[in-house]
Amino acid sequence: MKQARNRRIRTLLAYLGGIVSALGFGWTVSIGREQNAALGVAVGLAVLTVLLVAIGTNLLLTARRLEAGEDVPASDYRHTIPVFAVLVGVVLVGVGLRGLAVPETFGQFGHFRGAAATEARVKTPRHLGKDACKKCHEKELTLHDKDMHAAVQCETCHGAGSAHVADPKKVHLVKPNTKQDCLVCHQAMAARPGRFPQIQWRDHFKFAGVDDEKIECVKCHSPHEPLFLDRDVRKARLHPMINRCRDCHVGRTDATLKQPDDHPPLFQCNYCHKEIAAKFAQLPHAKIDCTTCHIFQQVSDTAGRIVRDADPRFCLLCHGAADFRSKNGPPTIEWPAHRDEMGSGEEDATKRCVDCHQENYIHPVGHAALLPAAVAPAGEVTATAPAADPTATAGQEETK
Amino acid sequence: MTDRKKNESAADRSAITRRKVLKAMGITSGLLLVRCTPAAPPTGQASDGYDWSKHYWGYAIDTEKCIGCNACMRACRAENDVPEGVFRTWVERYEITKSGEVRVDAATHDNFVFAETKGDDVAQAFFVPKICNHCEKSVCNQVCPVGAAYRTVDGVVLVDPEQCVGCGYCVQACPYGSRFINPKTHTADKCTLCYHRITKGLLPACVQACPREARIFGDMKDPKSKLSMLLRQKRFRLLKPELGTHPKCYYLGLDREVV
Repeated sequence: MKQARNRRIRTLLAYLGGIVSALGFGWTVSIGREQNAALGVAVGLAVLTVLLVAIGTNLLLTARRLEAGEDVPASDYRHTIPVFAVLVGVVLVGVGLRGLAVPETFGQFGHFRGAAATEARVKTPRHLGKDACKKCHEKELTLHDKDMHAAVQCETCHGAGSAHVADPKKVHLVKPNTKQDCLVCHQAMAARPGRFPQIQWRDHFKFAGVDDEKIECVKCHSPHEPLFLDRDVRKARLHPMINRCRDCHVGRTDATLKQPDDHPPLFQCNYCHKEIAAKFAQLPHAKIDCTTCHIFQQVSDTAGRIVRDADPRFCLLCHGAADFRSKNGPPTIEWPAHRDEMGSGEEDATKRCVDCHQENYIHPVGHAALLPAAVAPAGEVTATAPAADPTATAGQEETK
Repeated sequence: MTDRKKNESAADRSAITRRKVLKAMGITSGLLLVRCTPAAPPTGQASDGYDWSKHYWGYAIDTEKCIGCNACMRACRAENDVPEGVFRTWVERYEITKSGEVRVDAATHDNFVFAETKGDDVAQAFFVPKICNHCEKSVCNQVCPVGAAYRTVDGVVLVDPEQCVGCGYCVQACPYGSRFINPKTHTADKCTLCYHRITKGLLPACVQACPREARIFGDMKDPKSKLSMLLRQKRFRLLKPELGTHPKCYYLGLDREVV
C-alpha cells in the first residue's frame, strides 16, 4: 500500500519534472519579448514554485514516515536528486548560454538590442541645409530665395555639403551647368505635372532663336535666378483659381445651370481679363501664352501665386543679342546700350523695357486693365471671382 | 531526528545527505530568482535630450507634385552610402495607355534620370515615390529570427546590423519591397527615415532634397506639424491597407492603378 503510494508520488514528481523543464525552456526563450515579458516572469516564478513544492512534499512525506518510526530507505528520496540536478542544469545552461549569446541591452525596450537605436543616431548628417550655405554664400542665396527655384535646396543641385563646410578650401562642390543637369527636372515628360515648366530643348531653342545646339541653358537662365523675377515668388499675392461652376456662377442651383458647348475651358486668363486679352491679341506677342510672363504657381486647390516679370533681364532672355541667336528669331538688342541710346540722361538709367514698350508691344496696364472684365463667359452672372485689389500692382493681371 | 544526527559518523559527512541536497537546491533556486528579476525600467531619454517617447514620425507623399527628378534618390544615396544596385527610396513612373494597360518603370541607371517616354499612346502618367512605410504592425520585424529588425518607440522601423544574420526573411516578408540585403555588409538594409538626422531636428535627406515639396515629413504627435495639418486637411490613401500592416506613409492624389 505504502509502496504503491510512494511509486505514485515518484511518478508525479517525474511528470512535474517534465512540465517544469518545458516551462523553464519556454521561460528562457520568452524573456525579452515585449509582448511576453509578463508571461516570462510568471513562468519563471511558476518554475521555482513547482520545484519548491515538489521538494517540500518529498521532505514532508519523509519526515512523517520517520516520525512514525519507519525505516526510510535512501531510495525513497534519492530520486529527487537527479531530477532536480537535471532541471537546474538545463535552466542554468540555458540561462548561461542565453547570457553569452544575447547582447547586454537586448530586451531593454522590446525584442531587440536597446543600444542599436542609440547607435543608429550616431552618424553625422551630410546634407546640412541652406542655412549652412548662408554664412559664406549669402548673395547667391538671397537671389535664389526670391525666384522660382526658392524651394530647391542648394544641396539638391550642388550635392551634400558637409565635407565642403568642414574644409571649404580643399573640398569643392559640383556646379552642374550642362543641359542634361537642367533637364533632370525640366525635360518634358508625360508623367510630369502639367503646370511644371518642362521643355523639349530643341523646340525651346527654336522658339528662342538659338542656332547653336552646344549652348547650355545657363547662358540665358541663371540657375539661382532662373526668371529674374522682380517680386519674391513666395510673397506674391494669392490669385484665385477657377475650378468649379460655383466659383463664378454663384447662387444658382444645378437645375438652372446649363452646359453650353461654347463654354470656355476652366481657368483661362481671358475668362476674367477679357478686355486686356482682346487687346493683347492684336499685339506682336499675341502668340505667347500669358503664363510665359505671368508665371503661375499653384499653392492649393483654389489658389495660386502669380508673379510677373519686369526685370529687363527677363525680356533679354528672348531679346538679348548673342552670338548664338538665329537671324529668324525674335528681334534682339544690346543691353544696356539700347537704353543709353534711347535715353537722354541719368533719369533713364533705371528704365526698364516695360517703361517704353508697354503700350504697343506688351499690353496696356492700369487700374482699368487690372480689374477683371465683368466676368463669366456669357456675362450673365455678376463678378464673383478674382476681384483683383486695385492697390495691387501689375503683377496680378492676366491677359490673353 | 537527534538519533540520526548522533549516528552520523565522520565518514558519512562526505556522503550526499538529504540536508545537503536541500541546501544546494535552495541556493540554486535563490540564484535563479536573482537572475530572472526584470532589468531596470527602460527610459527613452538619450544623453543629448532627445526623448523618443515624445515623437511619432510619419511621412506623406504628394504624388501630384512629384516631377520624377529623383533628387530624393540621389540625396539618400549620398547621405546613407547606399551601394549600387539597391535602393532605400525610389520613384516609380506609371503610364496608363489609352487601352488601359499600365506600364511601370523606375530610373535605376544613368544618374537615375528617367528616359523619355516613347510612343504617344499614354492617356495618363504620373510619378509615385516609394519608401519604407514604417508600418505600425510591420511584417518585417515579426519574422526576424534574431531580433535584428525592430521598431523604435518613435515609430521608425530599423535594422540592427550587429544582430542581423542576413537570412533575408524580412526582405521577402515586406509587402512593399522596401528591404534589401546590402551587398557590402551582407545584412538587411532599408530606409531609416534618416534616423541620425530626424533625432537631431533635421529633415530626412530625401525630404530636404525634394525641389517640389512632394515629400512631407513630420511628427504625428505634434498637432501643429506640417504632416499633422496635412493629414487633417487632405484626403489620402495608403498602400495595400488590406494587409493590415498599418503603413505610416500617406499618399495624396494616388490613383487606383498604384500598388
